[in-house]
Amino acid sequence: MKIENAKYMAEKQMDADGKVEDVVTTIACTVDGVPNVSVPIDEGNRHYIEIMRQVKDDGLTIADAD
Amino acid sequence: MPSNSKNIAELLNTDTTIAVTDVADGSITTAKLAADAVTAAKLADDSVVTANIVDGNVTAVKTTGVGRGKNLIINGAMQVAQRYSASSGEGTVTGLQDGYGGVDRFRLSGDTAARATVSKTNANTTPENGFKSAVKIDVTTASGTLSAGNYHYLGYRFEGRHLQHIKKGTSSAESLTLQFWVRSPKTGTHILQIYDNDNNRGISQAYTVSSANTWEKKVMTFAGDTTGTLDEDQNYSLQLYWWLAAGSDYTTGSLRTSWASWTANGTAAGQVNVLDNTSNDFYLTGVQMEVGTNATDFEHRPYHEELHSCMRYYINTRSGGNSYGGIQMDRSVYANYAYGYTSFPAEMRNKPSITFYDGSGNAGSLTENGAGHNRGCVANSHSSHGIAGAESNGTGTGHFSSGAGAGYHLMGTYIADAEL
Repeated sequence: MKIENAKYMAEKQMDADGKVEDVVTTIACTVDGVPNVSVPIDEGNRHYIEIMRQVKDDGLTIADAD
Repeated sequence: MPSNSKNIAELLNTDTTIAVTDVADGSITTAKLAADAVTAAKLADDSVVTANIVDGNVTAVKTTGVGRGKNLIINGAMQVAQRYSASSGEGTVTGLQDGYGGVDRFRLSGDTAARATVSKTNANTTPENGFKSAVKIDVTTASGTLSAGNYHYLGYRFEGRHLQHIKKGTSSAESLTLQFWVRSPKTGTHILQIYDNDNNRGISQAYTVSSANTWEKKVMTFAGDTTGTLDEDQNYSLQLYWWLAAGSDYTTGSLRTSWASWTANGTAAGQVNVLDNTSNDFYLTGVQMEVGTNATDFEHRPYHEELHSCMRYYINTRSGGNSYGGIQMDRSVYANYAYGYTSFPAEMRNKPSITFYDGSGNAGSLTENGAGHNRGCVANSHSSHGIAGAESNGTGTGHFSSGAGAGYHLMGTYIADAEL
């Protein structure tokens, strides 16, 4: 699986006080040439598992969220 | 004495034969029959009718292999093929080395030099009445020479939640019986392996293909494994491997035909190389795995039921081509965001990976109605139940519009992938 252009993405969530904040929940990346795939930060997701493996073994980097 | 019993005169007359007419109605009670005295051979065909069976007398142990849900394989008849190619149509994925393609739930895995077109095919030779579809692996780049560590197989993965009743890792572990139809370009030894991903254990069996390019039915029973319980969750626990090619790391040693801690040696001893020529085509269909030691009739399930089961792992709203029929959102007051809930047709195994497609088929984007196609964006705010939002990232033709016209809709289709 070829992973490119990995970048953390934040979604807007409202806290208990009603304040909207940005929470990082996904990684946007290109998977086998398909751009803008939204991969959830979830230990059971096969794309996330592979991204983390490539970070550890192959030096893949994930850009910070905006 | 019953009126139709033997009398002394008859016995003294050496009439020692007791005919049916000598036995009074109701005189042979259950108490007169030794345990197991009435064998199946003493029962004429069709002699036990429903009226002879007392309510509650047929217990669960007598119904193994009967009824719905006995087949633990989803899409074993290879009916569902959601992966879509605009050029090739239903199910077809070209140039595949490692990944999902062809029919749903079955995955080509490996690292040999081989590449294949994997597709659902309406088998040009129907293997059995009722199997109209098969997965086809058409070798397009051959791998005639294998390095020691090379491997390639067609796999099927189970989540642990679906296998708790096989009682793996207990003293009551159930045997599993697997049946399938295969058409291989090679005669000789092929290997079927079961791998326990939770405990790194495995077992293999060989099956022999007698005639090349001919449909053959194979049946094999695997003993239950009393070691290593499977996790009760939605993650990958067990996998079936139909080996296609194996380097010497896997073929050296004796085939490991008993459950044991997995090591490469002996896992695929004797496996022929199915991927060594571009003229090779490998087919599989009719896959059924059931609890017990008997291979019962294949459980044919309706297409819509299999599709719904497959959607737990993969949903493709693009099977009809480019459209706006998959998803719609409205731009948000927050710049570059859009919101609007789209429910999945089935609850997915876990939170999936999402890819949007606009109305022109551009991956990773949606169409902004009235403003233009190819607004590059990614899903956020999604769960195993559905998608609630998208964020534009400036790729394609740029960000979602802002300011006036804030009512623009974002539309297109999506693919959600929660495969194992």
